[in-house]
Amino acid sequence: MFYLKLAQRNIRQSFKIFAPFLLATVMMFVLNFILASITFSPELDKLDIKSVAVVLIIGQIILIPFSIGIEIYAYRFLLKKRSREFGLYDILGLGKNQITLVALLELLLIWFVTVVLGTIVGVILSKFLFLVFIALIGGNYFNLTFLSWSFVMPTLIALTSFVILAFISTWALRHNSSLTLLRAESHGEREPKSRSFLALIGILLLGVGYYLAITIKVGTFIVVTFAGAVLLVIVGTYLFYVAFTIWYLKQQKRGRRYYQPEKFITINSLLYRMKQNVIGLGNITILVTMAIVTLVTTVMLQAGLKQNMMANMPFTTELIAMNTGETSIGNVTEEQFDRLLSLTEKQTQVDLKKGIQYVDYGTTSVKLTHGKHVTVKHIMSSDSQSGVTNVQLVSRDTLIKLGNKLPKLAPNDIFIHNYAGEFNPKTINWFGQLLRIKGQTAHVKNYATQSLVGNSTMIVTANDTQTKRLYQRMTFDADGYSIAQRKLVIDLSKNDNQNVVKAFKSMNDNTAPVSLLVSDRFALLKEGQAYSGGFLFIGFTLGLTFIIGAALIIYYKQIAEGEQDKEAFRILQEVGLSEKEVSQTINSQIRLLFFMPIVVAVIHFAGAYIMISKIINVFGINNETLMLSVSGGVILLIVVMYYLIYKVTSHSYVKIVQRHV
Amino acid sequence: MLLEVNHLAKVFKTRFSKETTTALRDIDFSIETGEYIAIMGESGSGKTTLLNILATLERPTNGIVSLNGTNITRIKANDLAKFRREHLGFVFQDFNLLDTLNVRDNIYLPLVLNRKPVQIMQERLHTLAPLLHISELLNKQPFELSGGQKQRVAIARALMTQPDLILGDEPTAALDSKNSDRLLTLFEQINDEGQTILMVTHSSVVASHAKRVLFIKDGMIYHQLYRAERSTSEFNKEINLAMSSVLGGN
Repeated sequence: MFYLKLAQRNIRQSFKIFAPFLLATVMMFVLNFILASITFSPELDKLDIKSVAVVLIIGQIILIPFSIGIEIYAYRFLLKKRSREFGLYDILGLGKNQITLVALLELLLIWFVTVVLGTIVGVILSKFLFLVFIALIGGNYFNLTFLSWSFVMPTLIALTSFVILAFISTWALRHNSSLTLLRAESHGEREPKSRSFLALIGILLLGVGYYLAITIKVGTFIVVTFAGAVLLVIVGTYLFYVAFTIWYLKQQKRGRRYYQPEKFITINSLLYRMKQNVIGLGNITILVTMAIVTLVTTVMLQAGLKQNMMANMPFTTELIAMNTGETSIGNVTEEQFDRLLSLTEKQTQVDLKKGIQYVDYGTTSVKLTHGKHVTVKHIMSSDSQSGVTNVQLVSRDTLIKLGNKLPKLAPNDIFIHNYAGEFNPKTINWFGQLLRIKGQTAHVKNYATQSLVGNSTMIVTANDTQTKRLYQRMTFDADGYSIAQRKLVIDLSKNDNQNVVKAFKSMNDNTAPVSLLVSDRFALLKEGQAYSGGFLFIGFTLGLTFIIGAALIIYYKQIAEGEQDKEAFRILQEVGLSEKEVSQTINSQIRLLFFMPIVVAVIHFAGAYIMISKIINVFGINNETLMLSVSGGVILLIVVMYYLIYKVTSHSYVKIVQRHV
Repeated sequence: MLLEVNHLAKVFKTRFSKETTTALRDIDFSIETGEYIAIMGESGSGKTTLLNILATLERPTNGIVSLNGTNITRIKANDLAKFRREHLGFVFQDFNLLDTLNVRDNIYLPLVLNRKPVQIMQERLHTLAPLLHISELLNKQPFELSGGQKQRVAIARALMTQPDLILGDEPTAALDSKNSDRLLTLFEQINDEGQTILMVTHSSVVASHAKRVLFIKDGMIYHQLYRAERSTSEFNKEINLAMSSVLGGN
């Protein structure tokens, strides 16, 4: 009991020393909590998108060791500050065992406070973020619910790191005599040696990581490759910082301008703390990179999904009729369809004459071989196999009706339009019908594109009759074709759209075997937004988590260094450094540390750029300009946030360091 | 006259109460170039406050301090640092070396702040290092040095600017007697070369190496003694005598 009281009293009395450590442990707990509660949220399955899981798992893989690392860093700082006190206890006659016990009890108390405080802050913060998000997005598809795992996971992580801390403190107290404990605070680092070997390994790892990222291929191993590349780049970053910064500073020391007040002091104090700096800079860089990657990916997904939807729905409204009965009946006739349309017109008083009518023969997955002469005989059941291309059969007539300009074609000639892939043979044998390819069309507008997964190609035939013949050839010879649909596409106002859609669908009950369907861009957009809103929430929370993590490290770095530099700046001022020069020195020191991580993070992001664009390409998003501007915007945002963090935290540094004469 | 102190007074006010503490009442003395002066007093006598004012680290409530005819209590805050590094040298009780710099750079520091060319730094160090027996230490880090070595490095740093006046604040307090003796002899040597030195101390042994001793108590100078041709031990006895009679002990 006595020792517990002593531990309690220690914490209360030296709260100023304990506070930054507690801040670190609570913050890490909160971050782990938020990440865990998203990862374990049962609603996550609804989103059914693998990359979210990948991002979350990678986030967790990085966050766990990172949070343990930062807690160790914070604790060692605390231990160093307190070793004088422990040394005093030792000299006053409290045995090593008892001192260790007190230190362990202190840790236990702090762990308890961390869990309680962290849970409260975590629940409030994540709920708050979620509410803000819902307010911004409108509806929600993803709902944040806490399972017991969201609480257990961060508690376990905190426990693990505190057990490590307990070992560290026991070791430190056992292996130091009371006298070294008393003096521990004034002990310095030896000036680091240049390490060209580490530099080489660092650059090698970075190179391999970048290479993996740039040459990544969409496939089963994408997750493993991604994670591998990330890991290599992380290790490479630390090594790079160790080697490069030491090399750079040594180089500066050799330079002719070394003996200038600003450089002189800055270079030396940076060199003096290089090991600490390296870890801090590495952590900041990686977190900032993660934040950029996460935000770019989610914003791209959000923006891209919307853009895809517009490409898939060039008109606001599609009215569709198709024969779902016996195949022998054939397609819905033009007369049948016109009758349905005029009934709709009568009922809604909306003019549908402006609309364009055509037959959509759907999309067919086939295997297109390489070579000059290609034969197609089978329809594939899945489009996710390699080498499979999704083919649309469209007549030149239809495309011209939709506002495209195309040269005339002889009956058995076709044009090829590739959405993705480079299919360009001389002839195709299409289920027994030989077709000659007259060329490629560069651009097709107003025709609903299909999903862009894998390769997709459009075959443009001479006229409607020819399309119908090719379709029939296919349906005679193979199974699994899509049913042809008769379609009216038209741009309507939101209100007219709603009425028309309702009226058209209501006739569905008495038209069997003909089924009536509608596509309504307004409704789809609304649904899509709620869906991708969930994404955005996860992305922004993750991004924020990484930024908070970086902010925490920066803050910790500033106060830790402030404490260390306090003495140095006091001496400098007494020797004759004016207050103005002190702040100049501080600024030049801060500037270097400010720019390095952000520059390296942007370089890392550039390395990941191709990988990211390939991953979002899986979702059918393929827009280079959008990706560039989104990346630029996100980087700008992060730089601004980072700058603000630095401004605020460097203020706390200056406050500690500066002494007014 | 190198340094003149007239009617110097310092009153401290605590920030939140109206209580005041008078550290210095009315101090008058002057120093000529080449002198070696010790200011003696018990703790709480005001000697550290006096030193801080002479060092321009604190401003007096009243009175004038002039160094070479410049009233240093009127120097603008922005110019103080420049004044310090151009005219004064410091030797502190706890050495005040920068851990981040090696010994050589610690010694160069004041001249770097003065933006002096490297050549001058090298020349001055070249003459100072053998005198202070630190030639072998130049590439070490401060934490590798003993207390006596650290203080010799600090003295080298103070001498680098060739200051008008060296101020010492209990420079031997953190040293053992052997190192302390060595250092005090060193100060005498430096003084013989013409360097003016002023130090505050509570130790008669330390004071006995000076040429003149000023006794301070309750913020006033009560007495002074000249060493003249006496040996340090004789002078030490006389200082002790003066201490008990003039300052009165208990």
